[in-house]
Amino acid sequence: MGKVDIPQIEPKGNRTTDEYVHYLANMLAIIQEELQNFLEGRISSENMREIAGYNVSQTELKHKSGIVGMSGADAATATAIRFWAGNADKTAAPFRVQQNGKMYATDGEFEGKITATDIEGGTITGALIQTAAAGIFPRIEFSDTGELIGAYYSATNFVKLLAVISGNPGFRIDNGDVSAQIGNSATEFVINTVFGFGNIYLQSGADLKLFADGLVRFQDWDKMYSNGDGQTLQTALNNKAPIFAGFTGSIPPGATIHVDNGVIEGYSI
Amino acid sequence: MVRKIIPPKRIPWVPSEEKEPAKRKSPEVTRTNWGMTNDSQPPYTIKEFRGVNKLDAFSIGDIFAADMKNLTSSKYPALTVRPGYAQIGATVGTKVLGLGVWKDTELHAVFNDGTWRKWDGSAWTTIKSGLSTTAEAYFTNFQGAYTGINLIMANGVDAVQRYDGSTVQNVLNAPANAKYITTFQNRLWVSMNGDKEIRASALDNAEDWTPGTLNDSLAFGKEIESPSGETINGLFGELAKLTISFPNSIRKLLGGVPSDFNDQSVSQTLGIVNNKSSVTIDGTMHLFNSKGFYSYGGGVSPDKSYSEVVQYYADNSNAAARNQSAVGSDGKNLYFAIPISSSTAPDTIIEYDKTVRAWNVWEDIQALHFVRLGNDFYIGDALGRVLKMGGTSDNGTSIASELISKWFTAPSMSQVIRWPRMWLTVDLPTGSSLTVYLNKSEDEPWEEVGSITASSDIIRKPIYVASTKVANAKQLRYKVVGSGPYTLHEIAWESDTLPLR
Repeated sequence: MGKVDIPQIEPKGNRTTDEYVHYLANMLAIIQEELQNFLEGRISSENMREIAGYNVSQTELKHKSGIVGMSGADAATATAIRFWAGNADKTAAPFRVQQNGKMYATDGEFEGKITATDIEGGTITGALIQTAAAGIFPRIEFSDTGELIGAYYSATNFVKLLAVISGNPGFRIDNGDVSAQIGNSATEFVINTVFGFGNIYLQSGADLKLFADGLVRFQDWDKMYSNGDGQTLQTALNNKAPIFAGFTGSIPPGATIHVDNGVIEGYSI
Repeated sequence: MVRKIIPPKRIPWVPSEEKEPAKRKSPEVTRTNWGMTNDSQPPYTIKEFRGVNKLDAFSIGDIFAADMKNLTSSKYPALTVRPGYAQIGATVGTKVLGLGVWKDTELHAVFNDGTWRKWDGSAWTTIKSGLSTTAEAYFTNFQGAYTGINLIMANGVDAVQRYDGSTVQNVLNAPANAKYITTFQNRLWVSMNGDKEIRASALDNAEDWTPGTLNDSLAFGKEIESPSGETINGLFGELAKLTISFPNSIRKLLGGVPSDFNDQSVSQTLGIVNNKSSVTIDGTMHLFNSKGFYSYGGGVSPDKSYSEVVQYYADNSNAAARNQSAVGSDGKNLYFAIPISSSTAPDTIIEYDKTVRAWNVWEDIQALHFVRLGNDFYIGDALGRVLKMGGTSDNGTSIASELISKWFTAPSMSQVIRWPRMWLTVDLPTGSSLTVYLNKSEDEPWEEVGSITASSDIIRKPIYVASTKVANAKQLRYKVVGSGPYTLHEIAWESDTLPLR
């Protein structure tokens, strides 16, 4: 901003009256011009000492307290502090904004949308935290309504952590064809596919070990099926029953008794 | 008009052929046939001389000269011969292209042999050669980021140059073809040859010309339009506002920093002849353009009311050579050097004595550039010479001067007058001479009525002339032709006003 420069009026000196009138008219014109320039919004910081409690300098507006201000100093420095509050040393102020746009704040609350490339922090709290807006996939969201945590590849292909099993948190894994759940019921840990759709496939490169302080329970032996034997355990058990069917009758003396696996199968004479 | 009886101490003419005329006795005229004369009238005296006035020679005041040459009002109310000059150093080339002063201590000149030289007190020392041999050079002083004040030169052809007290070198990064140069608001300002753009360096840095908006210390540039579509022909930083001139308009730059620099019109019809036809003294810019001699204080529009009495010279300047004109000041008076009639270089200097408000006319100096160094005043002329003003001769040649009065008449211009006795009171140093003429009509030749050469100093003594040689006149005017210095304190005569015939 330009300086408002009001000239000094000189004494008449040896000017004639006409000359002095002309001189005064010229001074008046200069003052009028400066004032017009002033009123058109070109007041200079050189002409201002203080405004609204802020001291005015060539490069800074600083509150009288010294702890609030804005600065245009060090114009070519990207990290120069442009706004600050909270400390007379603007480089140590709890709130400060650098020329390159970087902002430091000891605390903060925001409403509306925050867009950022990277967000780092010890604790992030919110009703909804998501990697993309609803309907945009893939996305991950943290929400305090509905699902608690959800990782969506698509609308029908996702993993969710939500209260699905007797009101308890559990995982629901869905790909559109198979819908599975893992979680706790009131008294049990449950792994299932919802509504009976889809198998549950457990595979181990070595042993598959099931240990229980209680029982390893099956719905019934008909539900135990051996892919290798192509039969259920019940079938196998059933098939095993005749082997143990021993000889019934009397064996004459001198006959040769046939025993198989400890079971008398009959005799010969 | 001043009427006072002066008891004359009579000095005879040398040779004394013309004795003091008998008072009021004329063989041709008697009271019988001419009626009453003004025996009781005191002599008519003029003891105040206020320069030239080119308005109607019948109507101007008695204190004005109708025409003059090489006289000045420096001893006002007396009239005296203008100061002479001494050429400093040798003639270089055939024309001075520019004069500058470094730190008010060193005189610098650019000549048309392509050299930039400084005056070392006894000779011109070349500090740069190979410059343009035709382009006029303009100077300004500027320090900025340099270690000391530099004398900066631009001519529109060569790279902008700077003199740091010992050597001349380029001003790095300065705009090419920069021609008009000045210092304003701690920036170096230029305008390019044939351009309408003004450029300013970064604040306090003559070698940073990259504009920007990041802050107000960066360089600045702006195109300035003129209503006539002309290009800039001058930049002047002496007033509180930068003044930008075109041949037929003037604008000024308001504001102090790039973010609020804005230009406004000073005049849409008046311009400045060139970059050297303006000088600022006591806060007022004095300039010459095709319409006259103007003053401009930065507020109201340029005014030429103070120069109406010499408008004749502006009107009769050679339009084809007007751009050779120059304006300067010795700190007290103003000097307008202009080409009159068909002159191709300024041949007439119109001096304005600000103290007594008198205009005087000088000739025999072809001034192209003026510069002031301390209390000394220098002229760069069209002959390759730099002249230091002062002394009583023009480099050894007596100064030829001339004073022509207005026409004097009887109360009615139809009445016939005669001057039975006339005398001049002068200081006439040894060797100086004066010749006095009278004339009663523009159609008749001047009649010499007296001549004197001082064999010893004459100080404030009346010298009588044979004014009766011119009689039967309805109007009379006198001419005083001088050679060498003299001071005219008074011209007086007794007048017979004869009745209507």
